Amino acid sequence: MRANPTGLRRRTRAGKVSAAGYLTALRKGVGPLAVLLALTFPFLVSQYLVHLGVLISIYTILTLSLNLVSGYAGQLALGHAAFYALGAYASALLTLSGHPFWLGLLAAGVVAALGGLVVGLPSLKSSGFYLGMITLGFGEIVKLVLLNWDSLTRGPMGLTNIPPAKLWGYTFGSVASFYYLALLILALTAGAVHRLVNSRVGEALVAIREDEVAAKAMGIDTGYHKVLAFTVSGFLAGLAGSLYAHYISFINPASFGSGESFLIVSMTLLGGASLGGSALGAATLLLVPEVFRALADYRLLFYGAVLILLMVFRPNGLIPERRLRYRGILERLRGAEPVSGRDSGAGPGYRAPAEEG
Amino acid sequence: MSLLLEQLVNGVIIGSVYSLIALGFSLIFSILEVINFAHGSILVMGTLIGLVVLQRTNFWVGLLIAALASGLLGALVEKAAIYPLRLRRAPLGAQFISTIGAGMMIDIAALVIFGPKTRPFPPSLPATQFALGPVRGSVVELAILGVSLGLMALLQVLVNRTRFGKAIRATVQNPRAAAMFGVDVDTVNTLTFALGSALAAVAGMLMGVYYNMADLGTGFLAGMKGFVAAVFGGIGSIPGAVLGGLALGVAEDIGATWLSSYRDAVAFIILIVILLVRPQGILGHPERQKV
Amino acid sequence: MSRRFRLSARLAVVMTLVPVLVLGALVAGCARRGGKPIRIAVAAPLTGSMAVVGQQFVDGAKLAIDEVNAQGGINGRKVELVTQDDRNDPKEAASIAQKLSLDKDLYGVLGGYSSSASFASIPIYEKARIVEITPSASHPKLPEVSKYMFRMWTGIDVYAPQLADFAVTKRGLKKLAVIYVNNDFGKANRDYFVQKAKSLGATIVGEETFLDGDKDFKTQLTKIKAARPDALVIISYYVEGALIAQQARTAGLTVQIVSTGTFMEPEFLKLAGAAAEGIFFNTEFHPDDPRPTVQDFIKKFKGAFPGKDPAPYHATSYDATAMLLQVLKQVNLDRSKVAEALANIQFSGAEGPISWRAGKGIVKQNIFVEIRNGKFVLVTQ
Repeated sequence: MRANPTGLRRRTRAGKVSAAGYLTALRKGVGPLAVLLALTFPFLVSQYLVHLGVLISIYTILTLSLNLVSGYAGQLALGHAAFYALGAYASALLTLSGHPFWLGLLAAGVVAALGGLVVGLPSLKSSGFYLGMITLGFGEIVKLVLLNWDSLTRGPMGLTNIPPAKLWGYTFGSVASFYYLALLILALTAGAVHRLVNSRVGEALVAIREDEVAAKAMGIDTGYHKVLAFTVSGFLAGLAGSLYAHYISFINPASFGSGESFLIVSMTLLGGASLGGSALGAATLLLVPEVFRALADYRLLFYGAVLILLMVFRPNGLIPERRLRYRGILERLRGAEPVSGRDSGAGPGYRAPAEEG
Repeated sequence: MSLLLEQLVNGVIIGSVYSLIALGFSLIFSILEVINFAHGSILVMGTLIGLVVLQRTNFWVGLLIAALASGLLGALVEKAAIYPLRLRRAPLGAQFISTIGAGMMIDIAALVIFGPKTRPFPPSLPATQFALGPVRGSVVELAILGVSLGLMALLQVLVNRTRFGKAIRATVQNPRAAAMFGVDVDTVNTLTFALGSALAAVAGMLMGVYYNMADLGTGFLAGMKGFVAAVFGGIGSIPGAVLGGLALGVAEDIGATWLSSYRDAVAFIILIVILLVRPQGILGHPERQKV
Repeated sequence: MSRRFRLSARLAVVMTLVPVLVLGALVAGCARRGGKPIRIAVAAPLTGSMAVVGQQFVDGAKLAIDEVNAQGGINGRKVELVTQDDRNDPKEAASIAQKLSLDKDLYGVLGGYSSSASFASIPIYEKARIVEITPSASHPKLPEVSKYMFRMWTGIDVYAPQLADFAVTKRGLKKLAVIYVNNDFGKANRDYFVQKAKSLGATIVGEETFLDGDKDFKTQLTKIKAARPDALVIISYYVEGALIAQQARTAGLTVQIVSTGTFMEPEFLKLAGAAAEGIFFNTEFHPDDPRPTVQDFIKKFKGAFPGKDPAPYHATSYDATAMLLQVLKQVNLDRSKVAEALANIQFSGAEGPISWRAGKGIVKQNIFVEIRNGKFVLVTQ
């Protein structure tokens, strides 16, 4: 480069193009490679890592579901652990009283979706910091109700001996088999989220995030879409709760405090809005403390430092979303015919998650 | 009736402490628009430092050192975890995560330095009891009320009557214009953060003498209560934070008389109702819709 | 702008990394390595307000393990102690159990501190066939839930009625108010205590509850004060107990306080200060206990941990670990046989000979302790 100053610009540009091409190739390769790795994981590594794999899968579901509300619709939600808790308790209570696991899993989603609906309603009136605080308050209230409704939830003592997951006569008793169950639910969730955000509903959500007033002016039913995002998000988080309950076999209200909500929010912000980002965010924040486990409590010091430094250097997450795409959507929304909220809500993208759950 | 009256007094005492925490939150939020989740951690750290000093000297020196140490810590947090993000115009969420990270680091530092034990607060103020008509009180409670109210008055004077206060108000109104008129906005930000943190430490020390102990775990809920109180009264308003704290304290104690296990829920129910019905709080100004 | 950003970013890096590096170096200096030892774990609160208790588990276990290692270990393998912090949170106890279950060289777990933590973790240990011995939890149902669960402390069904009997018959306390922690331990204690007290003719004038970790009890105490009891019965762990005792005194509730044995911690005296005066309870270990086994243990303990005072859980943790190690030798490190051998053990430790009742409830002698002049004083009946 130094030898040929006149060719500098062209060379650099060419270099950039080829680097971008290389990256695209890499990105294309990463997907299948990640899938292959995820599928063969239990055969390659120790049980302990598979255990972490289960937790990462569960938290990736949570992160993906929160991303619908926070990443795409841009609503600050600090009470996600509440949906996680509702799902866990619904599923645990049903199976403990003798009902099958699949019913518990489904009920977990439905109960948590109802919770999402309730939390979504304030978003009609409130936004930003205020909505964040409302959701935080909702999360704390759910926790306190679980804590004090002794006759149903056994209060602070929690529910013990939750039966393992069982589907079609097969018991997911071992860590490895549960890992595949978690992975399956994760794949379904990812598929549902993918379809939803690439539908007109997804476009409407992004429009709301970028500029709610403009989105409204374009004819998007912003309230409907926000509530919808909260409801679907709740449903998915409920599934994660059910998985967690049947994996650990014990839950109590303390498992689902604000700290848990903050953890999920941190994962979302850390990774960015994509599936890869969600998985990366979840994995990073679960693994960092594990890697530094030998350091006992001091690992939280690393954790704190990692959070601050990541926010200083990558405030939009490790894998920031592709802004260009959204800008395109916005321009289309501003320029082209207005998108009607209810029409897009009834599109195929909306029905998908409900059916697949 | 006397039961209710006694609960009312309890509520006012603890409410005045909530007010102090709320003041710190409110100051920081109004100037930086940051939800400072390290507030509770700074409170605990300041209290533990103050406690060590208190054991060697007396309560008032401990209080002063706690405030100074927390102020310094607050300034550090602002410089390390918020300032770089502001320069970068990072999203609100990133600043929020950054303060969570800072809070975590402070918690662990406190754990390493002071150990995990719940520490007793030596009886540093006379526990003399007295009766005022049907109401019983103690010197400790009177001191808590006195310190809280005194600081609030002082803060009101500071913000409304001094040059620094003027700078703060100018920055809240319009940071850019303030900078043009020669206000060093960065310094104002840091000092305000320090001031809010110092108030938190004072609140922590008062809670220490009230509950006779200092514990690493109290930070989070204390921070939350201050937060709720700030929103309740109207975020950004000094009299609002005072009123919000007192109202929260009383509401909690009255609510807990019937449903003691839902004591903490009272705060959050108030929070949700207020935010939905009157998001600007009791004394706040209606929010300007930014279009 | 960007230069300023770089400067301030550098500042952020320095400010976050300096404490990390300093503390990290401190910890790394303490790290140790080992060969292929067998492991015993302590899963107990090592941080948080109950950390003192977890440390007692660790000390007691260490004492027993060092003795065995000094004699060459078990089958030539050294015994190593693993510590896991469950913060006395049942959820943490369960997820730690999940992790420990994957360790093939783990031969037993000492923990959890509370009944709730033990209930949460035992189903998971049972699946992995690892025995769990709790040095402190006392819920009567605990040993029944699994053949892998053992508890060293006397059951609540035995000691709570004894305490009620002592309070009502010996001390003549007839109008009682009870404040208890809302968990397995608190509820079972309340049930057994109240039932026995009522059968002895006492009346319960007030009952209040609170959550583990609460700091403010003024509301409950104000209500109790209005009911004018002869005595306040506090069923809780010692940190909350100290706060309740103190806040009761400041609220002007000056009646006799009766408590559970959980209060026998030197830390309790420091926390409660003058409010501790006169409180009585029953427990099963006291340094002044003249029995030779107890005095032997105290001598051994002071030799190993100069400057520390032996507390009840030091003794039960030591006994639990020594018992487990004896069994491991007996079964030749066959993990599948540990539970059964432990259930049929003949053992004599710091607290004298130990035997299990039906349902593996332990049988030991109970003693009464009263706090006088800031000291735990043995009450001779």
